[in-house]
Amino acid sequence: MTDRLEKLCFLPPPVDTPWTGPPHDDPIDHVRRHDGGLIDIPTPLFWFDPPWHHVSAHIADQIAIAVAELGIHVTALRSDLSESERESEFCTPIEVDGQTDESANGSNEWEDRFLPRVLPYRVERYGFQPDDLFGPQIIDVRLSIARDQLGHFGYSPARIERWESTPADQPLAGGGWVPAGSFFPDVPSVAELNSKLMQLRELAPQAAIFISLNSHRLTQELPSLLKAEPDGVILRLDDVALSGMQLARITSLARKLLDDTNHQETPLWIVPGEITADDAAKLVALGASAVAVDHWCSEIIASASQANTSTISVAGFNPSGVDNAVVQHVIEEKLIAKVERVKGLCSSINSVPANQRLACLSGSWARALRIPTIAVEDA
Amino acid sequence: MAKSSESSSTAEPGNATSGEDLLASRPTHELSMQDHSGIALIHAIRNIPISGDDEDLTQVKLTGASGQPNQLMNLNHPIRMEVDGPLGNYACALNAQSDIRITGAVGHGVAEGMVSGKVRVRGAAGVGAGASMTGGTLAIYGSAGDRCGAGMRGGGIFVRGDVGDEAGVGALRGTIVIGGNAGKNLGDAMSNVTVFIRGQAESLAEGVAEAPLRNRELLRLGLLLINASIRGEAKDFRRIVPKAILQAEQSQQGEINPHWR
Repeated sequence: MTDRLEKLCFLPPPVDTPWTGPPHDDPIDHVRRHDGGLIDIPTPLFWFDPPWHHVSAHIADQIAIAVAELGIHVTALRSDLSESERESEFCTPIEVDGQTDESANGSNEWEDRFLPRVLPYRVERYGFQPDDLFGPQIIDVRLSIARDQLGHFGYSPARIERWESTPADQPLAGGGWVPAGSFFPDVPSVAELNSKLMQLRELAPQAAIFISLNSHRLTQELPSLLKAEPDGVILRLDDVALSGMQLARITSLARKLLDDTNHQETPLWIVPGEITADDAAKLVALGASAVAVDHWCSEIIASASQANTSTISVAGFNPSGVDNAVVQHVIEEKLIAKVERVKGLCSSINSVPANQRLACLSGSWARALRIPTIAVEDA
Repeated sequence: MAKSSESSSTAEPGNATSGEDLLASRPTHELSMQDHSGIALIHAIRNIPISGDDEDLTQVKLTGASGQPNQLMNLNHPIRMEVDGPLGNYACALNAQSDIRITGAVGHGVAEGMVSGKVRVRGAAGVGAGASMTGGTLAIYGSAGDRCGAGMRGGGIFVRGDVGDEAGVGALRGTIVIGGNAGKNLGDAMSNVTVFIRGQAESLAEGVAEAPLRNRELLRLGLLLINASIRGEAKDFRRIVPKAILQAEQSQQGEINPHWR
């Protein structure tokens, strides 16, 4: 696909910029929790709403691991990736040799670490288990109402079946779609949403608590939601047919709304819909702290699903039909180059002052985005 | 540290049949919620050794409850607790195994996400009582606010008094028993859930209907009422189910399990 933000271009540093070397390591960003603790964000990329029910839980688990190992925060419930006989590997801790700090505590410690994971805390909590609170770095308090593929505000039978498996003759909702909730049933109003966030902080002190919302009433809803003091905001822009420049404008506007309400340090994660690697980096330059790459990752699910279909024998489904090697192959083919491109571009824009990272080929859009323009309009 | 006290009661909790008797059992440990709160309280409780006998759980008395929010959450410990006083929002959320009795009102989201065990509240509850619970029993010996049992996926909720609007909204599985009246839109977007109500509902949701209370439900409800220590006879209740379930029952009448008695 072509860049949606092709009217924007990256600016190099001015010619009088002193020569400095690039950073030695990948630039790792951080999210600051309410209690001041820092959470590593290895790349400015995340996977907002994976359609895990399109593949078997076994394959979904492998895909989640492979994507997260690239430093992409992956959204999942344990029930998305587990089966009755098998726990999700992605959701279990990876043991690493903890940092030795004998001066601090006089002992070597092993500590549990987890692959980068976002816990979707939906209004209805279908599929949610208490163990889901163990490990995720980010909890997404999801206030954007779910819509199924047919357009209902609801969940498809396949997704519900993954979360809440039932005997074949007793499907939930008679095997039809299940309506989605619009607001938390145990919170009286938006004005009291802070109590829910405080509850989650108590239950999962290791995690940062984000709020995700749609963009349709951004200027009204964001300021009231910020009163709940989330650690970050996820803005869904994938459910409106926006042009590239409208996408840029809303991203810039959301950042300004945060800044103007004394939330300069609050991360803004954007769900833009289909984008390229260059688009992702440009959104970062416009003020996004991270960008969802659902389209790239969904291609992996589609490929894995296709490969899986080819392994279905006459006898039935073979859950081991797609192995790690196939998933890795698909990841290498579909994802790694794009991720590296984003990391490279983000590394380069960090070398340029924040107000000189992007320019626009359109004067009017440059004014709207409050960035420089570098070319005249077509005659 | 937990303070142990001698038990002088002759009550036998396992044999108790009324709410009064169940709440009369004597604690053998005591903790002050003024000294411990939140995670510290959970850790203190988890350090109390459990009884090997399911019928005679280790008992703990919690004092100093004064409406604190976020208490006794995610407690997964087979123990019986008495809380003397009110608790705030999300009391006993995600409870598993524990049998908790609260004398006092509770805030919003009591026992939300409960997995197993029992939570009994001698007082009123706020909105979203038992929301998203997947198992266990929540009994409220007062009234409950709006959206009681919303999104529940299992277990049972018993409310001796009234419930607010939208009770059971989005619930997928489980049972809700209402001793008093219900507000508007009872049972909206409900799936495999049964509601028993003794009083009147201000309105039923479009997708549910009143269904006959068959002998099997009379028996089941009677046992549930005894288990939840709610006085009353099963025949005084009416049954509300999704219309689809009612239609399925009617079309398969006499075929599902014709010899069940």
